[in-house]
Amino acid sequence: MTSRTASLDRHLSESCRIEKPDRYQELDHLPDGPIAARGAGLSYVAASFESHATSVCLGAFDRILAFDPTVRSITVEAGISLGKLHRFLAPLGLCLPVQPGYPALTVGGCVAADVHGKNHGREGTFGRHVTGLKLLHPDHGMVALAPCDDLFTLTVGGLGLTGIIVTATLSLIPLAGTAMIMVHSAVATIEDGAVALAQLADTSDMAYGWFDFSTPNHQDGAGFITSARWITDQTARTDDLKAPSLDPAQALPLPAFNRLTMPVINHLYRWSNLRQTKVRTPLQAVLWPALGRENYFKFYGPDGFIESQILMQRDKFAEYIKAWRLCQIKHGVPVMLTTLKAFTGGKQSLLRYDGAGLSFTIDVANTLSSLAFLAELDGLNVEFGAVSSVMKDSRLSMATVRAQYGDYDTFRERLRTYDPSRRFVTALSRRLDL
Amino acid sequence: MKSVVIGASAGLGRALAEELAQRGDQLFLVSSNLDDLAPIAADLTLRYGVSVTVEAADITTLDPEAFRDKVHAALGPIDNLLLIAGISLLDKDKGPMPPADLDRLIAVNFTAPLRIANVFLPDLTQSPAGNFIGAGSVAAVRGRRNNMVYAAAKRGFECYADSVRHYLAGQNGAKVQFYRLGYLKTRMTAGQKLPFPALDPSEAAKSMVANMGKDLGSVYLPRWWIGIMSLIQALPWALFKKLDI
Ligand SMILES: Cc1cc2nc3c(=O)[nH]c(=O)nc-3n(C[C@H](O)[C@H](O)[C@H](O)COP(=O)(O)OP(=O)(O)OC[C@H]3O[C@@H](n4cnc5c(N)ncnc54)[C@H](O)[C@@H]3O)c2cc1C
Ligand SMILES: NC(=O)c1ccc[n+]([C@@H]2O[C@H](COP(=O)([O-])OP(=O)(O)OC[C@H]3O[C@@H](n4cnc5c(N)ncnc54)[C@H](OP(=O)(O)O)[C@@H]3O)[C@@H](O)[C@H]2O)c1
Repeated sequence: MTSRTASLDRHLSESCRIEKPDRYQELDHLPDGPIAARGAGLSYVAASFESHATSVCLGAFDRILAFDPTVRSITVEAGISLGKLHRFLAPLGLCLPVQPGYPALTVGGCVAADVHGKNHGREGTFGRHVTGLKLLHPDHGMVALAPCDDLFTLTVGGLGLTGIIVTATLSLIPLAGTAMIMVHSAVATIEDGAVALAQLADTSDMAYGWFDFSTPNHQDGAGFITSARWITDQTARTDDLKAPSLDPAQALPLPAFNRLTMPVINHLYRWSNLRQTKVRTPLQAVLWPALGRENYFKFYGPDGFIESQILMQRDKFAEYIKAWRLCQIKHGVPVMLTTLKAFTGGKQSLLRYDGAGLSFTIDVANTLSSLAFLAELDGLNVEFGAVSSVMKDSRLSMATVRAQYGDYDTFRERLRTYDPSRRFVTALSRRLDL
Repeated sequence: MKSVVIGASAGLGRALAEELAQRGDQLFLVSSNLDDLAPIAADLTLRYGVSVTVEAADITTLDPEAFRDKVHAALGPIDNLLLIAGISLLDKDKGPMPPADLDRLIAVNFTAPLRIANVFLPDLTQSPAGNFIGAGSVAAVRGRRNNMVYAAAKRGFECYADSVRHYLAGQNGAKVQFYRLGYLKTRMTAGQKLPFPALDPSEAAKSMVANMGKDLGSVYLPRWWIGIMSLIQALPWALFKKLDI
């Protein structure tokens, strides 16, 4: 079926064919021509569709195939959502070690994007906990992959370009609690926030910083640091998981976030978080912070937004943020959302968003001034040795990514060696010339 | 309860299997491909702790007696028989069609469900709390130039379900629910431009399982199709014959 398909940030919308197979024999007869693997289709960037490709959506392949509580391992079809898995695992006192923030996201999407979760220092990225994959490629058939296989390494964080992940075997961990006590503490500047996060990295179960850069003047990014610790005060409830309603195509006809509203909303958000500095937050709100807040994405209006997420060395951050601020002032761009998380212990390779340092994320409305601001930041990011998440930022050029990722050429070559005809194509791979 | 779902690997049948497993039924699931049935069995067993037996068979060629014996070996006498499997050949089923296709439409939608139901009638006679559930179609309510054979087969199946209802009522046996289904969001309608909204199969399955135990006979699902179909039935022939529906 041909339909208009958009990335979550609405930066790109294309008319493309989407197939939703629901039987294995349909996977045996994949469409001719270019294919894009697709999970829930909720990526910020256009990573699961392309105008000339047929997107093969794995949504119907969402079953739990095997589960061994003794070794804490589960094998699932890749179209299973994190929410469905959670509903099965939580009552058994288990969970996935890495959970990105929305229950509709699929395991296939999380493997292909090698996503990160709540505590990078402790758990790393999603791929670290994948112990087996079954990958389907029309020219190579279905192959079983183990972490020692080259193709496994290329597939985890491989942006869906090596084939369709049909099943995945994942390691599990005990659920550390049924709720979190979150402590919010005010910080005057983002630099202070970065220092506080460094101290919390090893001692808290989860920590992040939120900062206000919604007024493009000499703001220092006053905000707050949230550190959280697990508690167990009830059995994990899974029954009230609301049906997610996140549709990238849905937007308000006019943006609700603008120069006037952004500072007010940011101010209120900061105030409401600091009003009560110690909060008990139920498990589901910890795991899926965006659940029930889907309007956030709609409020950017038809033109959408851009998320820029960069990972940079901790010791360069203070200097970087000075230059960043000057750039913001120069372009006069209000930032709706600014967050900071510490990444520890990871290693950057291929096109994965991994490594050690600070993960600095901003969301801005998709306007001409934002594009100019971000274009200038691209240069700054390269200068400071930062890497930008290719799964978050819809405007990154091939040149920028190549300059930031030392393994860009290796990734591209390995892809071509494995698949000379490059059957798997997405708007993202086209933009990055992969 | 012990339930047999024919056509359980996809669409409505798969959604019904999920609903029945959720309420704790022991299941026997049938469709033509083990690759599809095995994951469903594993999933339902793990998530709901129910026993699920599967049989990969083309229902047009399976031997009903041998099949019943397998079901009995796995579950004993059954309470619920859900005859959900069906196919349509929308592109071909308008005017003359290759005889093999015509035979297949009749076999899957009419002959096979009857042959299977036939061997389980004794079980259903013995189970007053049990159910005979059939999947019909709004397409069968008034014959049109589209879906000619499909509609005829479904109408025949509906007529048989009426008879089963009458038969079981006389024996204080299982209850009959036969659904004149409107559009469902399944492979059967994938890629089609539909004039009316399609129902999610899981919603349909929820309603159908909630109706179990009720002596409903033939009903529309969703119910609002009754309005549309009453209108279509009431259209005078002079007008109806001009419509390309
Ligand atoms: C509200 C929200 C919160 C988020 N929070 C986080 C977060 O905390 N951390 C984080 O890292 N990310 C986060 N993300 C991003 C998200 O985790 C990734 O974009 C993820 O890849 C999306 O999964 P999906 O099922 O929607 O995949 P899609 O968007 O459909 O696809 C994403 C990529 O995976 C590939 N893919 C999907 N399924 C398969 C398959 N079966 N086989 C092969 N390739 C496949 C696609 O080709 C594509 O390249 C968030 C996204 C949202 C919408
Ligand atoms: N979808 C609609 O809009 C719609 C509307 C009105 C009525 N209906 C009726 O509703 C019922 C369910 O439809 P659906 O949309 O859920 O269909 P579906 O998604 O195509 O699923 C049909 C199921 O029947 C099985 N099946 C078909 N032929 C079979 C055979 N010869 N042997 C064994 N199993 C067979 C299929 O298994 P395999 O994959 O193994 O073949 C599958 O499990 C059908 O009777 C259909 O006619 C559907």
